[in-house]
Amino acid sequence: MLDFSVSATDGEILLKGHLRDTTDFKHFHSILRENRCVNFSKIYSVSWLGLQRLLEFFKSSNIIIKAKNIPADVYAMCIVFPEFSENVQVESFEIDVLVNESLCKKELHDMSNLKMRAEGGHLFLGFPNGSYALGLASHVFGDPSIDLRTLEEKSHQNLTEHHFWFSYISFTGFVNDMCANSIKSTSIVVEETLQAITRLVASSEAALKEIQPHSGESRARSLLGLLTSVQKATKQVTDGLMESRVPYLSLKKKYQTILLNQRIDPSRVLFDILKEFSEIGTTQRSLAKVLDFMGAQLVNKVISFGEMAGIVEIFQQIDKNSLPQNKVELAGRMLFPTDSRENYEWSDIIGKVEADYQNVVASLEKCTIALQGYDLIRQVLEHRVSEAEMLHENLSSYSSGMQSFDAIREKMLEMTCSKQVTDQEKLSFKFYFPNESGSCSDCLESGDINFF
Amino acid sequence: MELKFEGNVLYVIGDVTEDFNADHLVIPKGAIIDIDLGGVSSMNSCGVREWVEWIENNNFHPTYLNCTHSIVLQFNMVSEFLSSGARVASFQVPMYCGVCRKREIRLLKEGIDYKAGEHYEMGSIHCEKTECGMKLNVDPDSYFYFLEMMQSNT
Repeated sequence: MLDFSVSATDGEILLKGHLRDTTDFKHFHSILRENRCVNFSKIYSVSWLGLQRLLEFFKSSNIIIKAKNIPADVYAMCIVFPEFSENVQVESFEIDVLVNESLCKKELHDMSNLKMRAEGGHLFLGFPNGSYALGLASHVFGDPSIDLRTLEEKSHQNLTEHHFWFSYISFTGFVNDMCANSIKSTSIVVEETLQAITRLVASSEAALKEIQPHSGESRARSLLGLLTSVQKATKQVTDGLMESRVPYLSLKKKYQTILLNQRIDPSRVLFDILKEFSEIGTTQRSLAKVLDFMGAQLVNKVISFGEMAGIVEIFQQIDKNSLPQNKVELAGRMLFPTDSRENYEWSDIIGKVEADYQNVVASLEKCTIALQGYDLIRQVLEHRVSEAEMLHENLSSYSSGMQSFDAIREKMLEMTCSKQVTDQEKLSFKFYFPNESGSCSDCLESGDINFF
Repeated sequence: MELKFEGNVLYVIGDVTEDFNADHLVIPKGAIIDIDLGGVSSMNSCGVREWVEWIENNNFHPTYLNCTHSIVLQFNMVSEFLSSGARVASFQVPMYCGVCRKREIRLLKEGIDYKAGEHYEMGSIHCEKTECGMKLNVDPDSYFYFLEMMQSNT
């Protein structure tokens, strides 16, 4: 059963399901030639690489796509990719709307109906009913020129300073979200691959038992036990990362509420906000350690799933000439449970067992590669932790005026630029700091390495 | 997929996939419900996730009835499926007779055929012919694994 489908009705393409790293778009081509409006409303989850591949597919089709009903979390990822604005014309998308300091709600808006409002120093996207979209207007639209116009006006005290810190908090929160999503999709890949391996081992082992009833302890049972411990480990890491998104989002909402409040001078609370931010960041250190430990543990557990080699060897040593035909047939029934055939030859049996083993080997390789994602995410988390620690150390000199905003800004940008290991970090940085990327000499170009 | 809630029994029919959505059903949170899965033709891993989330979010205490082969495979591979105090009251077992060339589905019932939390071994089963060689058409060690992992209700 596929977990992603593409269908066309009334001139509109509906994308449905989970967009993953391995989602195949080959059947999409002919549909896209006849329909250019793509409805995203039924996309339940997206992986970074899956989305990147979809946008590259749109680009390769040389057609400008009209996209509608894009869910908020999908839109937040889409907008970071330069290919998105080049090849996709957004008709409607879901926006996180700030209700109050602690509450956001999702609203679907037509792009053509969105109008900028002057309140909040033009930084935010306001609606006629007085509510605001969460995040800077430039980030909602993916258009840095909005900030340039705003900052030139300097209508708000220390606008540049707040703009920088709000962007940095948004960047950190977004990268953290990407890490959480990546871990979640990696965990799904690992769990499903191991489940598929377990099924193959179980059927081969059941076939072997028909031929040699006392062929030793059940490997499939031990793999089922191992599967449970893998699920527990991936859940612990995924839950930890998912929970770590909450304080960043809360702080962003709080900061935006302050910036929008005309009666509060945001400069008076800036250092409290940054103190809170640095404290959230430093608590991520323990999460990075858990990730490191779990990644190593999972690799060891995954290796155990290669135990099918022993079963294949036993099959290969069996003297086929001494086997009664009924045993061959019973083994065949275990290996081909849905097959309506009645008679099996030994060549069917050994062929299936060897083919299954090759599948197991290939799946394990895929799984081990997927687990490398754990280490990359650990590195990304550690980068943000280091930045939070730096901010924490410099906060008193910054708040007392002994260190200027420009000096700490430069330190922060230098740290962020010099340690980008993933495409997520690189593209996110370019998106949130469009005018800073060029100033980082050590900055890796997006697309140099495609990790996830 | 079709969902029918009749007389405190939820009937699930069809394929359980990522499309699973039972929000329209009016079942009080924390309810103890019987769920008949005999009509489920397949359940994929995304379907299991949606299912487990729905059960956990509503704090349901489910008792599963007539679980098909596809459901049993997921019981064995996704331990959370049988968390939240879930019980398996009955499940299907695919059988095959090499003599009669006949396939059959047998239903095993809790308390009569097996006990939760205990190792299960299937005794010999015959059809109407005495020379029948009816056997399990699955690996018993892995198929009945979930029974041992399940918490006993006694």
